[in-house]
Amino acid sequence: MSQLSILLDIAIFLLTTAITWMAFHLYMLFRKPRYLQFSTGFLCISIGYFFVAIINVFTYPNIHTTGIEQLALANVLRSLWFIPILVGLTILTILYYNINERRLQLLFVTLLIAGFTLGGFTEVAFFTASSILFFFIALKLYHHHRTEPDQSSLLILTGFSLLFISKLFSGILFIHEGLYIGYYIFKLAGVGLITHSTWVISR
Amino acid sequence: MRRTRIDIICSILTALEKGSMKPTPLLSKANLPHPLFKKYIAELEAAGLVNKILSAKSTTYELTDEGTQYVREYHRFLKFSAGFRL
Repeated sequence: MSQLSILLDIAIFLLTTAITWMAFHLYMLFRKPRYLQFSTGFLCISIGYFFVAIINVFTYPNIHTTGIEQLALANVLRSLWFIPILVGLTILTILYYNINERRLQLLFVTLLIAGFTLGGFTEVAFFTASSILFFFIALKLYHHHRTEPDQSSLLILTGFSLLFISKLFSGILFIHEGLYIGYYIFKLAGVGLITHSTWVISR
Repeated sequence: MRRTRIDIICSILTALEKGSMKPTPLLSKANLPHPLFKKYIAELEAAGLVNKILSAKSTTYELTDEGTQYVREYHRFLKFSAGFRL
């Protein structure tokens, strides 16, 4: 199962990189500032997942079996992917909610960083912050879809929602091992749907 | 909503997507006043996106290969905007 998780994280890294490239390419052609913001958000998420993949493939199995120094190293390594993913999700949330006021944007980022730093870069702090941001992005996509229904946006909305559900599963995995199956199914389906939609768009 | 420069350029190029056109139907399809149309069509010619074909009777415009490629990217841009709600 952990190999499947690593493969899915690599798939998310490749997917977010493809979306970043496509959005930036379209920004260079059509100069819409929202595309630059969108590609920056996805670039951060992509960098985060790059570290997730690298850490999981090369170091994580060793870190679990060793002492305090390695745990400190694990914290540093975690911040390598916690921070870019949270910054990316924050940029996307600011974009989708049209928060154009600079001071509000700053307040948003400061609150997130303060909460996260005080939380001590823990998995729980990351899980809570990223789930909240994920939920609000999915909610906005749902509202957009309700006002202007469209097949590709429905697929992307469904993909985001499935990823959000898989995130919720990841928070309760400690209850029962069987929940891993739900976690992987939702994650796989979410990544698959967004990949399919992105492929359809790029044709 | 006020159209941007890119919106205007794309409205001219997509109007030419189905084939060459004379200036009057083209400016009407792109919904542009004549002075603006002249300005933009000259820009598009200079950028190599549109060809001006002069004949004894009339003038027509058509897309170049680069223009066709640009329109293809514009459709991708519209699909991306619709999909990700940008």
